[in-house]
Amino acid sequence: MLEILDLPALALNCLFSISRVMAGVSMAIVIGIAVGLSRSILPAGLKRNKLVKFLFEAPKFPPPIAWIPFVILLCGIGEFSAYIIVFIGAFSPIFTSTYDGAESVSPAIRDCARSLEIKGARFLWQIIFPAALPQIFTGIRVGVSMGWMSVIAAEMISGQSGLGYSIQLNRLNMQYDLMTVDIVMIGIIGFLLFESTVFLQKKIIPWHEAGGM
Amino acid sequence: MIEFQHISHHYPGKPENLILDDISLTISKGECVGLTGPSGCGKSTLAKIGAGHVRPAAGKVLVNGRDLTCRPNREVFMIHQEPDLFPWQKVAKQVAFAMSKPDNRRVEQLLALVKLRGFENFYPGQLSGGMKKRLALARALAVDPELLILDESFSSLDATLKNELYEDLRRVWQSTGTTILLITHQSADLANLAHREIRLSAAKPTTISETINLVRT
Repeated sequence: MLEILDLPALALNCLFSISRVMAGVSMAIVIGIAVGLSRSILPAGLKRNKLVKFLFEAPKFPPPIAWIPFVILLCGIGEFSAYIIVFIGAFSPIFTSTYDGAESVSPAIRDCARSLEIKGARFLWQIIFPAALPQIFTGIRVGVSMGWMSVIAAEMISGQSGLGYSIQLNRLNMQYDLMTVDIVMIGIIGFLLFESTVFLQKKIIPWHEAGGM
Repeated sequence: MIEFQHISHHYPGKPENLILDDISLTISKGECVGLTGPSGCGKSTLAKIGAGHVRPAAGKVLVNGRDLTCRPNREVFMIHQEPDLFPWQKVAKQVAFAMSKPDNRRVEQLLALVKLRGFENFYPGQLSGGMKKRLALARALAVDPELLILDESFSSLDATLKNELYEDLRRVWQSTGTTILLITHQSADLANLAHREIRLSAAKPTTISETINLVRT
């Protein structure tokens, strides 16, 4: 098996898949946090409104793979489509955890900030966002995993490169040993991506490691 | 001078369930007043009304004649019973953040006053329970409020630590002259600290049952 293993091609496929996940997850982090925080500042009546709740919650239930035909139809086969598929996979957990994190900021902390006359965007940026960061990171960890699984699925269906594409190619060539190598690589990279978010969390919110409150 | 004028309050949407009934009290500048009463009598609700976090069903909160009812502001600052420190800010930053104009010398003075020098770069999560309360006190003093409300702020601590903190509070109060409303369910906590004790009634709706002038040592 090892004699036919094309290491440069494998490395290239890994890099393609990783770069797609990075791009899609980055989009999901920025947009997920922005939408999650925005939802948290809606008036209480709107937050409780069933239709508003439905509009925010329902889109997260169809799996990313179900969106692939629509994404291909709208964006064609290419890098951008892969980013969008990853984005769809990673967005929901990041958005949901951001909203939940913002909603769970304690009344005592909110009251204290209001007494300090911190309002509007400053309140959102300096109080709600940092207070929600531990939960946001939980969402990012899940989002990265979801994004990684989504990109492999997207590459398997419509890819021109990447580990998912390589699996399909090796399946068609009946090179199951190389397919196994791809699967092992997916596992290793998925684990490393997950661990890198844990590392980032420790660097960005050291106070959470220190015991929060 | 801080005035609570004819404060009444009921549960939202239930005007028949009156919690506080026509409570009026005046706290002069530099005074330390103790507010006591049994659990559930509405002490914390009154504190939140004072700090502008809760709108009373009736009545006003005046600070030096200015109506600040239901307007959270820097004039009345409250240290909550629950943790209200910002866990993402280090000790020194926490105190500086509360100032209208951050002043490092003042931060150092306040941390020295509450015996937290040397802990400037610690996060609240790295401090002990007593240190967290001292930090909350330093931050409150950094705000420089007209009235500082301590809402059973030390009640979760053991007796020794609580007494130590009350002693610290007395020292801080003597050195800063901050006006304090100290809310507790134990009259003993007010010893050597408060000018007078205002007792709330146990019966509902809560009213002021008596005011006792205390002799300070």
